[in-house]
Amino acid sequence: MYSSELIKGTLKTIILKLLSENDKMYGYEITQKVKELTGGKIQLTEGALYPTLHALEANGILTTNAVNVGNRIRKYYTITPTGKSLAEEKVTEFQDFMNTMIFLLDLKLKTV
Amino acid sequence: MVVLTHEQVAFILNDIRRSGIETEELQLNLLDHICCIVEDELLPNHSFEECYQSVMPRFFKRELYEIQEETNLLLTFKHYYAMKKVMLISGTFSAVGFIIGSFFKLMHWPGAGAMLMLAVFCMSVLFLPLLCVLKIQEAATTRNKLIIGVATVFGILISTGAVFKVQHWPGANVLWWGALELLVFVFLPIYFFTGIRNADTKTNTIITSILILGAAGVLFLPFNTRQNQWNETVYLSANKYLNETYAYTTNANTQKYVSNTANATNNAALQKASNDLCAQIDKLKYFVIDGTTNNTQPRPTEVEFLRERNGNYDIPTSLLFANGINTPAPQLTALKTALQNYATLVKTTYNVHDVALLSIENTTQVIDGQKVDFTWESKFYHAPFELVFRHLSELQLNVRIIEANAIR
Repeated sequence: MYSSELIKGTLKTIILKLLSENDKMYGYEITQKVKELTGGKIQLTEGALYPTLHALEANGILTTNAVNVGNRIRKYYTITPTGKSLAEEKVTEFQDFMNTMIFLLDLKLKTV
Repeated sequence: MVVLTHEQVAFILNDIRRSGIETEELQLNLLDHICCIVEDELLPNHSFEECYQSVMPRFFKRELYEIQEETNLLLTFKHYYAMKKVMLISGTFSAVGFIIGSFFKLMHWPGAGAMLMLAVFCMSVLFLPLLCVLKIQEAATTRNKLIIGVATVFGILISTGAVFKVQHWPGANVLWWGALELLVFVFLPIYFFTGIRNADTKTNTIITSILILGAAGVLFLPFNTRQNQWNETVYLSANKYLNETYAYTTNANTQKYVSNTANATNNAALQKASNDLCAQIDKLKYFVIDGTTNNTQPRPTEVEFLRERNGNYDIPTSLLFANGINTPAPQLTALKTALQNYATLVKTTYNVHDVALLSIENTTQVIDGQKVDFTWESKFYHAPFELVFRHLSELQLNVRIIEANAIR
């Protein structure tokens, strides 16, 4: 598990990338998908996930669709075209950041 | 996989609400999320409550409300930059407005009042409240929040009061006093007594408090300028003398008409023309008073009116020259015509030539080596209230003096 400090800086990028690759997702699904893809190394906390989702929605980057699931309502998040281009920007920026960090910390790349 | 019952879902939702999650969308998100985890982890024939209690602590460090706080912070953050931008623009605008407005005021150019008002409006309605909101968000303690709030109200009162004072508008002193009282009796005690308790802030608090007290003393100065009071006394005694002389001459003329019966027809025409002219001048005075006080009833007396507004030339100029110096108000032009007609009547009927007292002719003055023509009306342009009224009262007195010399 990585520290929450590291995850906090990349949370928006992770959410946007996942949503641009998936038609629609709900909160729990996002946490599970990240956990599954990273083999449990990255576990998004609900305390960070939902405020970010709400802020992205308020900024028009995500839209929501409420669906009745049994005896409760589930909110599905979909990325908007603005959000998609933002996702690309964020991923590119992160890639650039990674390269800089690799150079800065003189890291040798290893496979996960 | 276990599916939660309606009761269990309702229980979770109630617990979420009890924890202080106010936003409905967030409540629904958390409900679904918690239900998903519980349904995944709850084994058949195991206690729902126990499972729920084990799941909940994963959502927070201290309490569930943290998620609501974080959401609020992120949502407010969205407006943060917009607010900061508006604050900076309005702050710059009011600062520039204050500088240019003050310069216009100094040069006696029209529009100074409007510019200062716009600047103070921007400062009081946009800049200071936005600065207050942004600073309160950053403030860590209630004490600091309170200090920022009181300081904002003080800033609004003092800037509005300053413009009212410069414009000689009524209510300036109330605003100024209000601001000073707030500073000395509310802001300073809160700042001093809370700051002095903390060893880290003790010295700074004492120094700043002394500076604030000094600043309050400087701000108090406009109340204590003897010169203004003397000016007012001198002006009011001159006004009193003028009015008393006018009343005396009017009375003397009335008696003269009674004793001079030889020329009754002409005298009656002269009396009527003099009375009409003085009444017309009175009407012009009322036009200025009513235009300034928005027809307040009962209409204040000349002295009451002038005591509140001495020094202000923007309002009388805007009333008498709404479209500039070359376009006097119809009332002023009509008065000039009436004065000319009166002069003609007196000259032709009585052969009296002291009508020069009315000074209706255009004058020429040499300004910076150049001859400049001044119309009779222009003496009212950019003249403060007291000068406008003095011109008019002098005219009334001069009409009575000419009348006195003419009665046969």
